[in-house]
This record gives sequence, structure tokens and C-alpha cells, in this order.
Amino acid sequence: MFRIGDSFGPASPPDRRGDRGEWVMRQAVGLLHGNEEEYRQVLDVIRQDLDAALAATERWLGDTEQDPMGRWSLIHVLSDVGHPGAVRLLHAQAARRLPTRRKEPGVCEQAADVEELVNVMAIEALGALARAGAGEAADALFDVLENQDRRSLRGPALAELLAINPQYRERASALLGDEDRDLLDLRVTREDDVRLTPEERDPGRPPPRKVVDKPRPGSRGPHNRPPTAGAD
Amino acid sequence: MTSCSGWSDPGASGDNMYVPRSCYQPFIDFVWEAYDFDKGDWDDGFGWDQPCDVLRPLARTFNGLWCLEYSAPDWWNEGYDSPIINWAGRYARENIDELDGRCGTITGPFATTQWGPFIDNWTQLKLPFFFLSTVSMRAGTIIHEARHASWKGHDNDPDDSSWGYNGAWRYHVCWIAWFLNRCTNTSVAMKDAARQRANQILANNFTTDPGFRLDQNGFAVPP
Repeated sequence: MFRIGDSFGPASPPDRRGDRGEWVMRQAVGLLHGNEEEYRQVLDVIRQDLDAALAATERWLGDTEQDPMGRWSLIHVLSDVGHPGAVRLLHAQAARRLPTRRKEPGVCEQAADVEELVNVMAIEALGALARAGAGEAADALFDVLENQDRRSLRGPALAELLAINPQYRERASALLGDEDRDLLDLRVTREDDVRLTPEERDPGRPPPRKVVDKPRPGSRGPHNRPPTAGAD
Repeated sequence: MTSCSGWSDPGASGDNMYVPRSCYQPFIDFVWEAYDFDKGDWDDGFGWDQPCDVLRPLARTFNGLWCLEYSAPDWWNEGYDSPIINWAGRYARENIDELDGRCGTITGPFATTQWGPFIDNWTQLKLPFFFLSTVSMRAGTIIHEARHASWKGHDNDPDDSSWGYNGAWRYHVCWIAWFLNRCTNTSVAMKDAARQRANQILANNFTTDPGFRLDQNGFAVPP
């Protein structure tokens, strides 16, 4: 059916200070899904001047108007750096209070979900540091467990604490309200939980459109152009 | 007509990793036909004439579809008796009536699907889908919307009452579980983001918490 579409224009990326810490963190984020060896080399560079990288990261994370997965990536980089000097910054991100999620019909996934992932990444980074021996990271996780207002963030904090040291269970349990008791009993997903077979197609529905052959994966060609069949 | 703009770092979202794969004419032509894209829904800056520009919505959608279609090592096996990672693309193609790009708002829903008899059926993808998601998160959104497009809504909208309801949230989480378990052509960070998203769904989007969470392999591997 004919409808009038919308129009789009790419926005400008944020203007960031070009100091050394900023530059090296940007390189690391760019390599997070890239060449692993180059990524490891950038992590080594970050470790050589951690204070500059942390200062740049703190500025970047403070700009919460921008790109939550960019901020998530910065925290992933800090987790991979694995230095206890990052605990204060990670604690602040993990404990950060977030706006309430919209619970209304028709709004399945929303921006608030992605914003929450920034906190989750900080919680997991604290867990990794604690497992490597940074006691203050475990303390930060206990603080998140006690004071974070979101159950969906208290849960990951609890999971990290139990993974760090099973003996934390009693102390953690004392911090949980009645509504969170079940978090202590969560199990790992099993294969049969995620086995799924679609049911028969509703007979009231029209049949699926004709099958189109799926091509073998290829790589960027020299003449990529608008979809060949794209005029309709 | 609504006008909008958006930006997010294509390195952080994984788009720079996926675009050399999705920017391939046979793939572009395949998904254009199979998902019933229309030029009028993807021009005016959305990327119809720049299908490899990851700063535009269309290329980012293609990346999500590539992830949905080719994350199984045996991607050619699309049998419904296989894990969902194998048949998710087929299921989406068979159920999504058409895939449209729209502005929406950055704080609004990622996608909307309209379904039912005697009305136009469609799935609209919106700004947060293009600019707040990683590539694998977009694949998860598409299988979620495909479940709606099969005429299955949420029974406690926007949540599913339970895992047993077998709704869009379950499909979404199951796809991620198998993506973690089987996909070999992605990054560790992409899987980390996907796992966290799945566990967030399990915590937030079921009225009755299913009582389990995904681990780094998606699910426990028996000894």
C-alpha cells in the first residue's frame, strides 16, 4: 500500500577534545569488533597512561545524551584493560540511577533498555576486576546490590558476587528484599529451554511470499548500487 | 512527512565489522526481495541510493539482516527442526509482510509491527533500532517483530506473561542463546552485548521470571 515515507539526514558526531587519552580510547573502541592483536596493543598503550585514558573516559561517559553503545564500549575497553584504577569510575556507572522504563502497550524495546546496558557492563567489569583480586571492586558490587533501585541491575550485581566467591552468598542474601529472594535461585539456561519449533501457520493468513534463493555470503564488490529490484 | 537525524559510532555498534559482508550486491538484492523493502520507504536519506553507508538506516538494517541470516555456521540449513539460529531468517522472511524505515523518536520503540486480517500488514523500524543498537541486537529485534508479524502479540503488553506463552520475547531470547552458542563470525564484545540484552529481557519482560539466565555459551553444555 502506498504511504509517504520520512526523510533522514545523518547527524554530526560529537566534537571531542583531541588529547592523548581521548584518542587512544577512541582507537580501542574502534577495534573492539576488529583485529584482536591490534586491540591488545591498544590496551597496552592505555595501561601505560591510564590516568589520561580514565580522565577522557569520564568526560565521555558524562555526556549521557550521546550514543549509549559508545559508552558501553568504553566500559568494555576498561574491563579488558583490567586495572583496579578504574574501580571508582566503574562504580559510579554501575550505581547510576536511570529513568523509569516505559511500560505501555506497543513499546517493546526502548532507549531505556540500552541505557541500562551501560550499567550492566560496568557491573560485569567490576566483577572481572574483583575476580582478579581487586577487593574494592567487590565492595562496589555490594553497594550496587544494596542501593541500586532496579531489580534488573541488582540481579547482575548478585550474579557477579556469587561468581567471585560463593561465600558472599550469606552477606548478599542479607541485603536482598523479599521481592529479590528468587534471584538467589536463578540457574543457567539449559539447551531444552531454548529449543523452539514454530507452530503451524494460522490458516487465516495469506501464504508466505515466494521463496527467494539465499546467496552464499560474499564480500564487498566494486559496483554496489541501489537494490536491483529497488524501484518498486 | 517527518524529518529526523541520528548518529552513533559505527565502530562501537559493530557496523564497521559487518558492512563488508552486507555490502554485497547479491545479498542486497536477496533481502530487498525477500523482506519486501520498497524504495519509497527507504529513500529521502534513509539510504536507498547509499546501501553501504553505515551512517544511514538502510545499511544498518542490512547488517542486522546479515547477522540474522548468516550467524549459523551451517546457514544453508533452515529446517524448522534445527536450532532457531538456523531458521530465524527463514521465519522472518515468511512472516514479515514488508519492512519499512521510519523516524519514530529516539526515546520511542525500536520497531512496530501491524498485523491482522483485512488491514495492511507491515513492520516499521525506527531511529533507536538504527542508532541505539548493536548489529546483533538488531537481528534480535527482527526475530521479535517477525513473531508479532506471525499474528502473535504480547499477552501482557508490552510483556509476555510467561516463557510458556511462547511469544516474541521468548523467540528473541532463544535466538540470542543460539547466537552465543553457535556463531563464529562475530566478536566477543558483540556476544557480550547480546548476552546482557537477553538477560535484561528475562529480568524485565516476563511477568513471571523464567528463573534462568544465559551464560557466555548461551546455555549450559552438559558434561
